[in-house]
Amino acid sequence: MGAQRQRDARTGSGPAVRSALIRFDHITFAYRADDAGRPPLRDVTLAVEPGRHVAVLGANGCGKSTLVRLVNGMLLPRSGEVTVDGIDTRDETRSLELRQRVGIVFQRPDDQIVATSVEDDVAFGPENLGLPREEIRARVDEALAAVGMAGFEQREPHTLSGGQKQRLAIAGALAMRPAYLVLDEPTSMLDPAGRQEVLGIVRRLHAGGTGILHVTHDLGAVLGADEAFVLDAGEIAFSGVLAHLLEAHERLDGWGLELPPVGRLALALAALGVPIGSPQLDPESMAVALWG
Amino acid sequence: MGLRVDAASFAFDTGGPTALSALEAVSLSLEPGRLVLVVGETGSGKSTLLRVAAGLLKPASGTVTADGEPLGGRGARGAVGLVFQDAESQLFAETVLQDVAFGPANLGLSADTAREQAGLALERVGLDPVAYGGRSPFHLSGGEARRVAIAGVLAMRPRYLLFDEPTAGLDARGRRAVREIVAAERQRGGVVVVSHSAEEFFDDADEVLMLSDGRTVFDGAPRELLAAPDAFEAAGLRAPEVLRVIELGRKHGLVIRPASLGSEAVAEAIEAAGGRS
Repeated sequence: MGAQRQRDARTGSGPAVRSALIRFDHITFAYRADDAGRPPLRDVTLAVEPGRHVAVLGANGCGKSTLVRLVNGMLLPRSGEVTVDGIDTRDETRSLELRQRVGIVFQRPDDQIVATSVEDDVAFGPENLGLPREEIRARVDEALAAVGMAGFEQREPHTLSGGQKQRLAIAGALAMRPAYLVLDEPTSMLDPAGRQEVLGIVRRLHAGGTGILHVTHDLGAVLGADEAFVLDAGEIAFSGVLAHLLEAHERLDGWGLELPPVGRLALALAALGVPIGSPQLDPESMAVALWG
Repeated sequence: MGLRVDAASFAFDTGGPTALSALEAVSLSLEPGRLVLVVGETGSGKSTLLRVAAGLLKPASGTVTADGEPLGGRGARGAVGLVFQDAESQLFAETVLQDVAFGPANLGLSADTAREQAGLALERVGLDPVAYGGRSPFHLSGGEARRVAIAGVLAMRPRYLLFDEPTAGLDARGRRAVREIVAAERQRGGVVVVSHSAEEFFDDADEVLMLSDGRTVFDGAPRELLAAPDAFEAAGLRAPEVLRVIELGRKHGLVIRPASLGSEAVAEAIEAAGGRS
């Protein structure tokens, strides 16, 4: 997957990649005039190929959440086209199919829980599809296992930690067997332990072949991404591999982003002439770079 | 003087979705001008402690006083202000100014005085009352909405301010703005900040109170924690990432003693300890 493939992913050129992906093609979107606080999107083009982990980074209010709501047709573009595996989000006849293909997990775990037990919550989506009981049971078991919550079936969701609630929300999305998981700041309300739990699940799902569109302001949460976009005031300000974004760290501040703490330490060490090679972003690799 | 929680205990409330964690004989002492950082993982009792300190929860045993007056009594009325986690979700009025003026009006001040205090509170959180006062609180960015919610508490002019996870969910700019507000407010009174990401307020704090399972497991100056970073793990907490680098350095036999948790200070300490091995 060299530069060529990345270019293809963004422009969607070539018939093979055109159909099987989440594709934003020159999207513009604006809220009504009285929604002045929310920014429009301007000429946003990006793609998530099956199995890829794509990060969209940006400050609060850059348009990230708007982008998430455009993926499954909750919002429709003013111009341009959003397609998921070839389904146009404006095609109302296929909206159910669209929503099955794309699972969305939002920032606030409490807003996404609909039932009074963990298993009922996960079963909610499959039940609405009218699936047979055994099929629902199988999907619930599979989804809870995938997020490491087998054994939590009877728990009341309000007794779960924040990290567990977010894992439950992910299980609810997985029970629909989506091709893509769209994550909207899934860790920003969690404590460090909960954040690690959720990021571990995301890594595992990515390794298992689920395409992931991860929208966040937290660079440290997407260190495993294959590709990153920066959204600044509704426009794509950067696209490329994460390593290139980290090299462009002097631009991060202008976009309202910052390096994780260990990345800032790496810069401070470099300024003192302590060489550490490529930018290290987590404590363990920093220690290895420093002390072997 | 000061806000004092003395040996407060609170039993776990198992019923309902607002279940709070237990506290066991936890004390907190806040003098004017000081910043106390309370850290602990989810369920450690941090939020319970804040509610007790704000007088919203009556402890099963122990006492809470503000400047010597028991909370709940007439003398301590309005002494303590609590900014809840996710405070912006409680914004409700038609305009920003009305929302911020609600608190002081509710304390019995005249509408004019309440509006005046609301305008001054907006200035204190860095929002121009003329530009923002007439706007809907529902069409603000996340950072702006959080600041409006903080202004709503400031407008009641409490002597002691308590913040529950004030930077959660905010981006780099938003967090910086909140840190600046907290730093400015601690000059006016005393401030307690509860946070699960310790690094955010670590260098500003005069004192760090670490809770685990409702008990105090560390209470002291931040620099003591810089010298003993394993205290975090001992309390079942993930240490700030930069502290974990220092700890790993120790395992290589290096003595790294930063003056603060700031990147420059830690980099200097690593260099002084011998840099790369």
